[in-house]
Amino acid sequence: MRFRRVSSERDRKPEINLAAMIDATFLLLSYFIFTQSASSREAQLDPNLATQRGSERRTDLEPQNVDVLEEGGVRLYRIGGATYMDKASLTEALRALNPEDSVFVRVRDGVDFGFAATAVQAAHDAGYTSVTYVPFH
Amino acid sequence: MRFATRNNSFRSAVVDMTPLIDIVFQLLIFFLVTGQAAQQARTEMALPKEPGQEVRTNEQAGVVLNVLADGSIVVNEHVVSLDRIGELVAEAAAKTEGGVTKLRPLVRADREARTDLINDVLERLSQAGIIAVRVATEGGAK
Repeated sequence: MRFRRVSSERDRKPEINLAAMIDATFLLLSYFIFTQSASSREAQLDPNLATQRGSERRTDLEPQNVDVLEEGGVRLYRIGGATYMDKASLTEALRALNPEDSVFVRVRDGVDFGFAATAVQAAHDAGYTSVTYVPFH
Repeated sequence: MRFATRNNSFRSAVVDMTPLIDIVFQLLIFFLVTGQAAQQARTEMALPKEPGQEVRTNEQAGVVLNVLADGSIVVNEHVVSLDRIGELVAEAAAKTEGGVTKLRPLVRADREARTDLINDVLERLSQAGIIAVRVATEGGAK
């Protein structure tokens, strides 16, 4: 008597067990969900450096200098003789100048850094490719 | 009675992919978690809320200077003085191809930090031969 095997090795189709992949995929998914809100993305500004002490004179002939300072407890930006209080107006003023030139952001002592970084960002937003941070004591 | 013998020559080759996938994903998770841990090892501070800019350069940071709101400067989780900045730059430049001109130190300064100290830090960097820095901001902010 000859017995026939129900399923021969030859007829067996190759199978890929997807369970492990699905497990790992869900692990990754949960990982990203839990960490997404925990870490905020960090961006960067790229200013050049300069240490030259510039002239104290402020005239309308120096439109590419942005002074970041605090006067009478009020933080402000100054281009030539014009004063700007916020980022939007500063960006607009810089855009009206010549963005192909470089701009010097002269940051005086006694201001908080966030306010100075805003001036650098405004210059980049206005289209200046070369922005130089000038420490101004 | 005659029994059929097993014929291995007709047996199709089955490659079990499960361990391979397991290992690949475990490695992926490992690198993601360790990368995240490295990110969190950065000194916590309130960076300026600015969107930053897209800059693609081949310069290296070399040194990451954290300037905190209380006036301390932290490098590699150690508080350092202003006088150490020149040495740190020199050490980083020695490890960098192209030297100090290829270094773009990352300055992570708290938005509440006073510019008195940051101006001093930037002057020290400039005196050490650094021609440009990167200023970290809280990305995504408008």
